[in-house]
Amino acid sequence: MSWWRNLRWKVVATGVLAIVVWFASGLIGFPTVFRLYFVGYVLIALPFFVLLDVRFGAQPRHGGVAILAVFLIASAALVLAGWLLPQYSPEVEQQKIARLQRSFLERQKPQRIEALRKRAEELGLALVKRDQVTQASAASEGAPVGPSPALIERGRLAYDDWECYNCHKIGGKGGVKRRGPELDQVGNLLSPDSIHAELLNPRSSLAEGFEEEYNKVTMPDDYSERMSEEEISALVAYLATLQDASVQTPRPLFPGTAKGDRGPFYEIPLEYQRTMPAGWWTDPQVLAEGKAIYEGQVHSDVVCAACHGRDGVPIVTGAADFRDPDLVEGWSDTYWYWRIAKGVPDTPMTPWEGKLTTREIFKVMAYVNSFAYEGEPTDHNETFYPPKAEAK
Amino acid sequence: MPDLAFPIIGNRTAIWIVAQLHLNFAAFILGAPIFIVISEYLGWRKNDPRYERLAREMTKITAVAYSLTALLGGFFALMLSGLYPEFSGFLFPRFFMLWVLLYPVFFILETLSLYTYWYSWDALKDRKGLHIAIGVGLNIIGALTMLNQNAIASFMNTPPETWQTASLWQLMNNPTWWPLNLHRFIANVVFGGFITGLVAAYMYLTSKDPGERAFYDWMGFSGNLIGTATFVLLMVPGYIYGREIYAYDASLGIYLMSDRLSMFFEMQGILVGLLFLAANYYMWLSVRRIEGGDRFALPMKIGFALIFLGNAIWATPRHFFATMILESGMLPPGMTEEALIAQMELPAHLGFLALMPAKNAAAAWTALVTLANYVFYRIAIRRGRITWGRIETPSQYALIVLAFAAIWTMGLMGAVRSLMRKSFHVYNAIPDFTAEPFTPTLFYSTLVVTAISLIFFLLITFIIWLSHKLGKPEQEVLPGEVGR
Repeated sequence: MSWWRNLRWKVVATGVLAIVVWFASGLIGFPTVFRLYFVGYVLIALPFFVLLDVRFGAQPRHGGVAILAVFLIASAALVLAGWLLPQYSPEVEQQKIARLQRSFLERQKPQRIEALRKRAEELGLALVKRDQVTQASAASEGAPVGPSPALIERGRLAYDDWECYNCHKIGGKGGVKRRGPELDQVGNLLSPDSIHAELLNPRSSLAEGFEEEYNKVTMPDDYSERMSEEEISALVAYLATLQDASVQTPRPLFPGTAKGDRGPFYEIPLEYQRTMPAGWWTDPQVLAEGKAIYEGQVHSDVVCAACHGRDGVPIVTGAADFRDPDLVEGWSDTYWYWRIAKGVPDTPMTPWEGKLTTREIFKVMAYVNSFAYEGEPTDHNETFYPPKAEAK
Repeated sequence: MPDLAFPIIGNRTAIWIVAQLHLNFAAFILGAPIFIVISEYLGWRKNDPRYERLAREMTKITAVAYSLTALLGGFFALMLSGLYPEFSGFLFPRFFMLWVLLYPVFFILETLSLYTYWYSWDALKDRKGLHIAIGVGLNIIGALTMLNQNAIASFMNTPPETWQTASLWQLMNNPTWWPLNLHRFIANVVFGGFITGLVAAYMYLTSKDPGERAFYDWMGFSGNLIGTATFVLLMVPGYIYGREIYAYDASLGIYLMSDRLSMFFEMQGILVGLLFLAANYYMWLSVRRIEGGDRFALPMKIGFALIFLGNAIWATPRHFFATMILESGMLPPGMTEEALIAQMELPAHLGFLALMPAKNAAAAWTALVTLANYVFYRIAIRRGRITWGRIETPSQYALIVLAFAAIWTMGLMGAVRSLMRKSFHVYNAIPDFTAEPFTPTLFYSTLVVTAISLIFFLLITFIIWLSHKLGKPEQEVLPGEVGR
């Protein structure tokens, strides 16, 4: 076949096909760059199909040189492709890495200080220094953090640094596969407490429509170990500002039944979305105060023990048996708080919010929680949210 | 003591080059013996001297390549402890048993079995079963060596959640150890097959003797067949490996496929397309040289069109920017983010083209076309005569392109596997506090991968020349010019 005969119909066919691909891809809705990309494929195919019909001899010339030439040409083509394809700036990632590494070191600080303190003690070094370090650390950790614009901006950076956009979307930007709910109006649906709880414990609430992801615990459950306190607070502050009601986002639902049989779920108003203050579940002082309230020593008209029993053994039919870990462990903080505050409809459990303050309700919860563990103060978060492997 | 800094290219690129060169040679010396032993067995059972000669010639190259593998491995260990002392201090004690005890033991056993296999060829020519058993032993030890080192490599990407308190076995048996083992095992055979094709092409193109050319023509066909068949299989463990990475931590999978490494996968798409086109073009020339083979021209051309279509879908990105979301500096002046995304990103109704089901479908039909072409070859050869040694010359260039693409792909994907752990030496456990914890650009990476590929290519070509051209032929086995 002569070159001209080989070429002419293929050129015509390629031209026609390129035009068809260009217009068809436009009609389907592909952006211009994708249309060019498809036409590029059609054009690249032309020399290949021409090559198919060329007859070559079987007598090689300059074999060694030819091998090197093929290799160099192919290398040059791939380097060119690597140059033409979109690039990114490593500087942007370096800034992000610097923030993440600062966070990593921040998170390690208490352990490092503790290790240094122990070592210093072993070596008999001056305790003054140790105390200064401890106090300085405690002062910085205890410093109040408000939702200042700087904190919110820090939270926005943390959202990017931790690649939340991989699974969530804000303003339509994020992963193409819908792994997690849109967050555009998360601030209208979840209280900062609930956002904080959700970040550390992805089972504290369920986004409606994401049951499978909830059951599989698709959301990483180790941010408390990976992120610094500062980042978590900042991210919560940022997310709480997202209140774009025009974007439809899934309703959050809170679990309220025994572990292993999650559900039914409840929609709980924002003002009742509260979580236990840090450390209260096992704080002896809190438990003692909770006991006093539970037994009616603080408010004469609030005596939980009258129905639930002084030692957790129910006295009234239908009252919850707090000795049952399966029951207690299945309640999220929010659900539990809400039930005490608002009561349980159609039961003798009436709303207590008018008679108990929020702090008092949490103190009672901390005390009641210990019934399930033979009076031992136990961290409810660890039991409500078992490790991922166990949950599966 | 001040930190060591490798001149000009820096520590990371230096260790990258040495590690990848070691891996390339390791892949060859582990992959080649698998089909060498099979080839020897086929030669024995079929009484076909070509298989025996193929096995023998490849073993000769493997034996020389083996020394370089060991040297590069030692060089790599020294570089690692010199350039990354803190990380080495973390890794060596945890994997002391594997790295400092088992690895040298396996290496010594592998050395002994390889050289026993090679030097006992003539002595055991009447006891083929025993010789093949030594070859099988060599492969078992080789596989154990690979498993040993894969444990460390996979740990760095997917350490168990409780790595601080985990036993050695728990560190080894991390979520991606077995997927990596499976993937590398098959990839090594692919690599060995395509390097066999390269050896054959080199020898074919530089041989003057028709008998020699007939043999190397056949050897090139066999290398292409081994490489392509196992390459098609490789997609399955590749998929399993990817799925396990997603299951371990979805953000790692997303970093690979949708974020900073997404354009690396774009390059992989180009390379896979190149591999399939070259392999099928070779098959096209193989069919055409058979009498009556021309009647398969039309279905094979349709197949090529399908390969182009499949590759276009395979390589269709979600968007034409190299990160998951737009980053500062990517937005042209005067343009809004929304406008740029509308221009550069697949609209929602076409987003499925960027997801795995579409990619899997494209990969499946590309593999089917390749299989169909081989079926055409088998049908053609049953009805017509084939004359070895008279294949059109571009077929040999196709074999070189295949070897080149295999070497380059291995370099690229090796980089991807290392870069996926982002700014960590051990993902989420040991951050990389050196000056280079970031992901290099694709362009920079292509330069490094090309340099590595060229060095490897020159070394392997030198080994072929040393083994085949400089030495005298071991035996005169002429396969005959005409065969089936």
